[in-house]
Parts: sequence; C-alpha cells; structure tokens
Amino acid sequence: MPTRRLSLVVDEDLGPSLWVREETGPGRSKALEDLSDLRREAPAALAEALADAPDQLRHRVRIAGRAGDRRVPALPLSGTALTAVVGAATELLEARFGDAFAEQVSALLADGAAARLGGELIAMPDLIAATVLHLRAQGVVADRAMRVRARERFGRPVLEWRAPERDAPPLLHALVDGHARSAFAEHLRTVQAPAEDRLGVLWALADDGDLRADLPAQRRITAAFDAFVDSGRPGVQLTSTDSELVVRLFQPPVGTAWPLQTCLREHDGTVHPIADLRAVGDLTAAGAAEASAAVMRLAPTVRSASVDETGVDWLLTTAEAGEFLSRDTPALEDAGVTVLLPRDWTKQRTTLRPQEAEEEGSQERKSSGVGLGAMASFRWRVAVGDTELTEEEMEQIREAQSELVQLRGQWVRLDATTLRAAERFLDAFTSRTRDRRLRTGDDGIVQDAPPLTSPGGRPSAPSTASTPSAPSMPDLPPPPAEIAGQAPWLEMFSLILSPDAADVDFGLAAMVSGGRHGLARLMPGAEGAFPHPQPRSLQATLRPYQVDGLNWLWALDRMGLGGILADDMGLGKTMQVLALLCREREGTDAFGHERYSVEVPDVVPAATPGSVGPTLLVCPMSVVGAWQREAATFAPHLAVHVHHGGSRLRDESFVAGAGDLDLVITTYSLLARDLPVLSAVPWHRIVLDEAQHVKTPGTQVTRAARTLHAPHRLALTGTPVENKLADLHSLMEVANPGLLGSANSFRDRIATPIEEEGDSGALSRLKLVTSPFILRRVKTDRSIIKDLPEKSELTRVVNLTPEQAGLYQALVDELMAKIDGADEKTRRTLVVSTITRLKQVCNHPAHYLGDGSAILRDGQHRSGKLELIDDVLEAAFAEGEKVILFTQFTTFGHLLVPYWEERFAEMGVSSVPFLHGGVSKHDRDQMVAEFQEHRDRPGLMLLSLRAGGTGLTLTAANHVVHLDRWWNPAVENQATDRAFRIGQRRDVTVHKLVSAGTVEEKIDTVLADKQSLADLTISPGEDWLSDLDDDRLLDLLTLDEDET
Amino acid sequence: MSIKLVSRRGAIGKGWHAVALRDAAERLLGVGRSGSGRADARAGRVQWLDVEAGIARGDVLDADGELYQARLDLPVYSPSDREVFLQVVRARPELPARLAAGEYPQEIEGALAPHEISLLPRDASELSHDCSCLDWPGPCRHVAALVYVLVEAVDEHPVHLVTLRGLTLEDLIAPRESAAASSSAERADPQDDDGTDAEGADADDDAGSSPGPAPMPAPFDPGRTDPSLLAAAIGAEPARIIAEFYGSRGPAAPEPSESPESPDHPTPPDVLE
Repeated sequence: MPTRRLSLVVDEDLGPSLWVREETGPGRSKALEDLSDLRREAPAALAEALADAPDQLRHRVRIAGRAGDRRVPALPLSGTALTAVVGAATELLEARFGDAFAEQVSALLADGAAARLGGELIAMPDLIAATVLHLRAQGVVADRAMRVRARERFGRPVLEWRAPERDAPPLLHALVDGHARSAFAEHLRTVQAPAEDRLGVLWALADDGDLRADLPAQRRITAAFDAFVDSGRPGVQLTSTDSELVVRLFQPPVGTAWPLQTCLREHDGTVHPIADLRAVGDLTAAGAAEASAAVMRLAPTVRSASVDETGVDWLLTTAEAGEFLSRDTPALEDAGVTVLLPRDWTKQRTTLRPQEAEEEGSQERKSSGVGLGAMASFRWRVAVGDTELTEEEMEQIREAQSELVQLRGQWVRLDATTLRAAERFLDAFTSRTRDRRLRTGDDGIVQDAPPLTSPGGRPSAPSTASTPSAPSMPDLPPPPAEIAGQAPWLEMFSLILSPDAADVDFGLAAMVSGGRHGLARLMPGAEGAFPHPQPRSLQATLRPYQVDGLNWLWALDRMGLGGILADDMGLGKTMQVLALLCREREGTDAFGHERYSVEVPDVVPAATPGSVGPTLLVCPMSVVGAWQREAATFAPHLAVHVHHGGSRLRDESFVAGAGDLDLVITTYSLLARDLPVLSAVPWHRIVLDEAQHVKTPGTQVTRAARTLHAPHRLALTGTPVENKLADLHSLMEVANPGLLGSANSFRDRIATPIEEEGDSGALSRLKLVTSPFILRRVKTDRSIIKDLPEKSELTRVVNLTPEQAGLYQALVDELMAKIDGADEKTRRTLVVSTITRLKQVCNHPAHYLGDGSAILRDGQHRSGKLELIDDVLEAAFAEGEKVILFTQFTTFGHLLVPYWEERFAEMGVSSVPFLHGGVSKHDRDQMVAEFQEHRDRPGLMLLSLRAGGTGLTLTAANHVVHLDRWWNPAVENQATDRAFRIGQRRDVTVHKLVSAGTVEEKIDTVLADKQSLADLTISPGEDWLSDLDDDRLLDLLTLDEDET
Repeated sequence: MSIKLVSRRGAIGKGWHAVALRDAAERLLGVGRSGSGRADARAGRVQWLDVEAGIARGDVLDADGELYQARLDLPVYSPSDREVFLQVVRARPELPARLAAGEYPQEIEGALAPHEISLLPRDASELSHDCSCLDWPGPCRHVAALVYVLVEAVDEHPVHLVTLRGLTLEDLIAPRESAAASSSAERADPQDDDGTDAEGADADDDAGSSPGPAPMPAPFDPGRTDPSLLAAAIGAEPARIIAEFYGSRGPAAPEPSESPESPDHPTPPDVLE
C-alpha cells in the first residue's frame, strides 16, 4: 500500500477541496486521480466519509509549488461532505493522540509537520489545521453563534451558514456551514412542517435547496439575518437610526480647541461616544460614519472643522464653537439632536448699567432747560452676567462676533439678543448725544465728535468721564469701561422707551449714583430730593416719610415736572399736598440751601410768599368734605373754596375770584361740565385726587383733565396701576404729558411685553424712566410707618339657608335654560344680571325677592350672612367698638338699617347712618363727623361701596365688613382703608363674607389670585365671567349642594 | 420595482467623484450608448442595483419585455494596493464620515496619486462589463443604463466605491490599539476638569466619560434573538422555526479555546515529484 498524503486546500472557485499525493516510488509521487483505491484502503471512518464521492476526480485546484503553480485533481467538499472528511481525520488523530490531542496538534502545527493518520495515510499540516477549525466550528454551532449569508454560487442563489467573525478563515466558514446544516436539518425534523416558506429558506439552510431570491432579495435576507443575530447581543441594538443622536461640546482642555463629540443616547439615557461604541463593536463603522455624517449635514460649521483621530469627533476653534452654538445648535435641536454643553452654561445676559446721571451745573450753557429739557450727562457700564466689562473686553467681544468669549479666564456664552440690544442702544445713544453736541457746541465752535474707538460708543475711564471731549485715551483702560454722553432728559427717556432700546436690560439696581442736580437727584441711587424742613405754617407735625414726600413734590415742582404720588391709602397724601401749598407760600429761602431758585430763576418763578396762584383740586364728591376739613384744620391760613352745588359760580366772577384763592376744590363730574369756566382760570397747579378717575382715555372726565393747563400737575392715587399698565400711562399723561409716548407705542413696546411676556428688560426700562416721577410707599412697609396697627383679613364662609339655596338653584336653572342658543350679546346680559341676582340671594331672600317680607321669619334667620354679621356686630358693640359695613346694593342697605336700628338699640346703637350715592355732601360730612366723634362707644355705619369706598376717614371703626363681594380687590382694599389708615389706633379686623358653595366662594379663589396680580401692579380685565363657555359657567354658578 | 433617478435632465451626477466615474464610464460606453443609457436610466428601466466587491450589477428591463442582468466590473485592489490604500486613508480618520455624508474628498485621491492608486477608475480601461443579453461584445444599452444608475448611487453614497474596491468601512478605521490609547488620553481632560450637563438632560454617568478600559462587547445569547427582524424578509413561519433553532443550544462541543490558530497556507514540507 503506497503512502498517501492528504491535503485540504481552499480554492478560490471550488472552496475547500481534498487532494491526495500518492507515493509512486522512492522520492517520486503523483497526485491521485482516482479515489477508489484510497477509499478501499483507508480507515473505516475516512472511507465512510468518502463513500458518496465519485471515483474520478474531475476538478482541478491550483496549488503553489517550487516550480510555480500547478493544477492537481481534487475533490471539492462542502457542507456535510466537508465536515465528514475533516471529522474523520479528527477522529483518527484523536484516536492516535488520546488526551494529548490538543498539545500534539499544536506542536505539529508549530513545526509545520505532517502526521500519520493510520497505516500509510498521512495528514498534511493543512488538514491537521482543519481539524482544529473543525472543533471550533462545532463550538460555534453548539453556541448557535452562526451568521447566515445569502449569495449566488455557480449562478444559484444559496444560503450559507457562517462563522460569527466576518474575517474568519474561509475553511472555518465552510466547516460552520457543514455543521450548522446538519444541526438545522435535525431541528427541522423535530418541528412541524411550515405552512409556507415562499423563498425556500428552510431547505436552503438544511440541505442544498435553492433559495428563491434575486440579488436584491439576497441582500435583504443577509441583512435580516445579521439584524436577527445581532439582536442576541444586548449592546448591539445601538444603531444610529434608532438611538438618539447627541453631540457634546467640551471646554478646551488646553488652548482653544473645543472637542465636539458625536454620541448616541441609549434608551436608558446613558450617552456613549460613537468612537467607543464602534471600538467595541456595538456600532458598525457604517453606523458611526452615518451618525457623524448626520451631524455634518445639520451643522455646517462642523463640515469644515478639523477632525480628531477617531474620524467622528471634531476639534473646533473658538470661532467655530461660537458659530456652532449660534447657528448650528438650533438646527440640530430642531432635527431632534440633543446638544450637550458644559455644565452651568446658561446664556449670560448683557445688561447696561446706568452709572450716573448728572445734570449740569448752573454755569453751563444758557440753552439748557430745566426739568425734562435739562441737559444731563449719562454714563453706562456694560455687564455680562455679573461682570462689568473693561474697554478691552468690550472690544474683544465686539471683534469676536461670537457667542463664546473668554472673560477673566472663564468661557462665557453670551446671550446674543441682549448683547446686540446693548450694542444697538449704545450706538443710538452715541449718535444722539453726538448730534446734540454738534448742535449745541459752545461759542459757535462745532466740536468734533470724539473719535470713536468702537462703533458702540466711546469708552472712557470713569476717572476721565468729566472731560468727555478729550480726543482719545486708549492708554487708560482701567476696568470697567464706561460710555458717556449728554442729552436732555426727555430725549434720553424717549430713547430708553424707543425700539432702539428694545430687549435692552437695564441693570437698574446697579445704578450707583444719580447726580446732585435737578432731575438727576431723583434717579435711583441718587441722594433724592433736596431736604428741607417742614413748612412752618402747617399746623401739624409731618411724619418723616411725609417730609420726604413733600421734598419730592417740591423738587418736581421746582423743575416744572408733574408726578404721581401713589402712597397707600391712609399714609396722608392730603397732608403732603397741603404741606406743599404751605411751603410754596412761605418759600425756603430762609433755609439758605435752595439751589433751584438760584439756578433757574427765569423758568420757574421764584417762590415769593403771597404771589402763588391758585391750585385746583379735583376729587370725588365723597372726599370733598375731607379735603375741606383737613385744610381748615392743618392749614387754616389757606383760602379754600369748594366749587360745588347748584349755587356755584359759573361766570366771570369765578374766574376773577379764583385768582385770590389758594385752593379750589371741585369734583370730577363738574370738571367736565364746568370746563369752560374752569379752564379760564390761570391755575398754578392742578391736583387730581383719586386719579384713577381719569385712567380711562376718551372719557369726558379724562379729556377735560388733560385739557386743563397749569404749570404744575400732580396725580394722587392709592393704586397707580390698578388694573393695567395702560392705566399708568393714562395717569402719566395727566401728570407729565408725553413722557411715556403715545398710548399705542407704549402698549406695543412696554405694556404688552411686560404683561404678556414677562419681559424683564421692558420692566427695567419702564422703571428707569418713571422712577423719578412716581412715589409710592406702602403701609405694610414698616420702615415707612411704624405705628400703624395690624390688619387681619378674614374670609368668612357662611352657609345658605334652605330658602336661599332653593332660590339660588332656581336662578341657575333658569339661566341655563335661557342661555341655550342665545346670541352673544343676550348671553352676556343674561349672565351679568343673573350673577347680580345670585349675589342678592346670597345676601338675603328679601333682598332678591323685593317683596318687603321680614328679615326674620318666626325669629329665625333667613340669611346665613346676616346671622353671622349679627354675631360680629354684637361682639363688637359689647366691646364698645365701631363697625363699618360695605355693600354694593343700596336697596339692601335700606332693608338693613331699620332692622339693625331696632335690634341693637338696647346696645346703644339706635341710629345706623347709611352713606350712599343719594346722600347729600352736607349729610355725608355730618355722618362722618358724628361717627368719628365718640371713639369708645359702639357704632355702626353702613356704606355703599361706590359712594363710601374712597376718600373718607373712618378710623373710629376697627371692624370692616364686606357684606357682598366686589370683583375687584383694589376697590375692596380702598374701602377697607377707610378704617385702616393713619389715625387708627387699634388692630383692624376685616370680614369678607362669602356664601359657601356659591359663585361667591368660587370667585373668591379668583380674587385671591388677582390680589397677587394687583401687588405686581398688574391685573387682568373683568370680562372673563361672561366669556366663559357654558360648561365652565355652569360649573362656576352651580350650587354645590353639600355645602347647604 | 425600479430605480428612479433624481436627475431629470442634463448630466447625471453632481459630486466630483460621480463626475469622474461617469467620465470614465462614458469613455467606455461611447456617445451613442451614453445617450440611450441616460434615457433608459431616467425611464426607470433599471430594476435594482447591487454593489459588491469588484461588481456592480442590476436587472434592466429591455423594450422587448425581457429582464437582462448587466454588470460593470471595477477590479478590487491587489493586496499590495490595498495595503497602501489603507495606509493613506487611515491617516485621514474622517473619511468614513465624509463618505457617509456623500463626500469623497478630492484630497484623498490626491494623496493616493503618488502611489499610482485611485479609488475611482483611473481610466475606462479599468472598467469592464457584461450582460446577459445577446448584444455582444457590447457595451449594450443595459450596461449603459446601469452605469448611470451607479453614477447617481455613487454620487450620494461614495462608499460604493470603497465596496467596489473590495473594502468595507470597517477596514478604513485604524485598529483600536493605537487610536484608543491616544483618543482616551485626549478625551480624558475635558471630562475630568469640567463635567458636562445637558440643556435639560443629564449626561454625567455615561460610559465614555472615564478613560478606563474600553467596554467589552456584550456576550452573545442566541436565546435573545428577535425573530421579528427576520419575518419581514423571509416570512413569519420560517423565521419562527429559525429562532427556535437559535433558541435550542446544541450539544456542548469540545472546548477549542486552547487549540492554536491554524495557519491558512502552510508550505508543503515535501517535494512534489
């Protein structure tokens, strides 16, 4: 038997093939062409494996030899035929080496040596190597780690099992295919035959069945198998398409290269750089490239940036990083890509901080005016976040044109909106102030505009700000830089409110110094109005805050400016105005420090005693008496005249006589009616008390108030912006016409941004402009007033009686029936009238029914509210205390007065005064005077909210009851303040009555919200009730039954 | 199913690499075939396109109603060319992303030129073609139509060029050893001295934030495989059966791990004849 050497080669075309070299003589051999001898003589295992092979070897494989490539006869092996042959060889070697198989095979392979399989049969090293792969392939199949590939083989679409590693040796792939094929065929025998297998997949995997798929379908099948197998590895589900793409920007570790990383976010939220994912095989190179490419597509800046060694991340320059943040980030985020930035990287707002506003001294040019026309110099600092910028830093930011700047060693991301707004404002500021300088240059010499070191203004050091025309000072950049310029106040204010200042945030709180002259003294941070002692002729001692108020009034007065004194009710606005009248009649010369009378004598006449014209005071009728009384008490030397009543003078004699008076008091209703005669008087001043009466533009009263001319104007109110900023504008139109611009532009540029968008910049601008002209102190500020007692407000929820509940429900049912299908106008009317009726029911059935029935029925209360009030009154009277009681329904008051007069007569309350719109002024004054008289006796006064809500002083009472609710907290607070004001010595208890489960209670919640709005000087309109849809309305009105 | 070209008129292919491929192919086709190929391609006669190493193939519907399979061949790199090519492109790690973004930087081609290598066909002579139709020796209009479909595909996915040359995107990426060492060192700095935070998201504890050893691939568990991924391609029933097969582990195989790797082509120790 000749020696036969078995080799297994992998041919490019045929795949694994067996060829045999047979020794034909000493040193001679030939390639075997016929297998039959070998099959006959080989060990049984091998013979069996070759059983199905043809005798004649018709195929040729190329093998390398010393004399070049040769082609030798070979047996191509695939599938189970291959595993059978290699398996037989393995078996033989194992039988020979036993337990030492692994070591022996390793040794053989290391030496490149052949091994005897048995007899004269020798396995060449390539066959020995195959036995190793054979075992690996078995492991792969046992672990079910195979992949599947569809491809065309000899023009036939087939499926091949493959080893998991794509770059595995071809022989391993072939062995895996063989083992898997038989294992899968085994599996197929155990399962039920499938109902359908249109592509022939199963038999193509188990046997050599044809795959019925064209080339594109083969690709799809391969891809599907890959995805299927990959789903068996937990981490491999990451693909760039189903995970969220994230880009992460880092601050430069050194220098200015900003690493930008492409990452994927897993479903559990963890973020992995794709470079790492790719490295561990959780992401294919294609997936990583795709993710990185997606970033490039969305972020143009990145496209030209330099790539780091991973090829999927970048190193951006600072300019690129800035560009990336401003231009690419929005696009990325729109496309659903998350952009991660370094911690604490919120955008830093740029604020303009007014440093100083200084009005020029008297030695300045004659053309400078006073008040709003006066020239003033302004200095601004620019701050980013909390950092005030130096000139260099401003320059750097401007040149960088980037969102990213390095400030004091820290990278800062600028808020582009406020930065540009600040630059725009400073541009406008510089150009306006420069124009001004050119127009009004001294001595006819037109000053050159100072050379601008930057487009945004001319930064100058604070120390040199007083020489604003110095040509340049680039050598002195001590921080922080300031931009200075001069302009008249009015121009400055209009600039601040103009679109040029849109989005500018004025860091008002940072203003360190207003000036020492003129209006500048009244700016935030300034010294405030020049202090003077209180006027000697005033028969009262002013409280410190009242002296402050007087000085403020006086300062504005001297400059010919109007103001809004908006102190809380009860802080003594009347007293401060009377003090002002006293001071202007005695002058302040005696004190010696008054500067305005010296500096600007030609614009505002010097205050010479006796030469001051009359002041016209307009107020609601209800407080005319209070003014009269206080004037008589505290400033008896003033000539006061009340222009009121049917017998008032309406002709020339009034005009003639007015000149000799100090104070003329009239009412808002007469203001419009008697406008011709009133406007004929050369008033020195107009004071509008309770100025909210002129808040509605277009009404007769408001128009009349604006028509009257006087050099001095003053508005008094307890709530300057009772409902809307538009009201502030209206009041300011009366006090300082034109200061806030037209109503429309004010609404568009200031009011709407603040009220609807919460624009803090707009609020800061409004405050900057209005701060000198509004003085508001609140009672709750204990630093203002230390001796006012406490006020406690109680919302008393009372139950309806069954009678009330029945009436209430009937009304709601009726409304809902009627409202169905009603047009909008009808609907509105219905809703409003029903709410009124519901409130009447809550008050008392007799009030709603109007049938004159008794307040009590069989000694029992018919109204829950009245029952509670009776208790409150009884307790108060027992302590000798007084109560004031508000209702908005006069008819209800008329029902109550006789009832209480009878009920509490024995407690010393035999008469209950009722102050309402129908009571004459004389009678009102009488009522108030009597009520205030005996403080330690029980007493009760009933007031209609409309007539008694403002102006009166009823500090004798320390209980306030609101019988029914008004939808406006400001109005209620004003009413409450009749008792809770200066002069009150006891703690005040406020009872607000609310019927449980009714519309009253539900609206009370809304009122509470509105209260907080009013504190912000903003509150919404009141039309919302009738604007509600039917369901909400029903919800609001319906009686919650369990409450009765 | 047929391929719709984006280009409706004028030249097909916009990117410089697509233009270069088209120019080479058009020299092969000649003017007449180019015109009919463009028309056929635009008419959607090419049913599908498949690109693999060395071969771009597609079925083209002839006017006679028959489907012919046309192919255009671009030789894969020889092992030595492949080596040089990889050396050049691995120095340019951004290439895969660029290719994915539809760009083939001209600079790369420039860097390959000194080695007399090109990713694009250097010449018409590098291209060959074949078709199942009877128009011999061609190039037939089927090949011409295929050319334009390929040009447009390469325009959008220049990675096809890499595939034709017998390479994958994976091949273009330098092995991790060198890259990992330098990249994690670089990356460690920014993350160490300044944590990151999302605008609204938390990115603190991610795997990449520590420069420690790269995470290992997760272990394979055939029981987890998801047959729904197969079902669309081969039908639900066969997919279920295959998934069951994966779910059933075979008999434990002899542990092969200590076995040495086998050299692929051992030199025969003996003399032949």
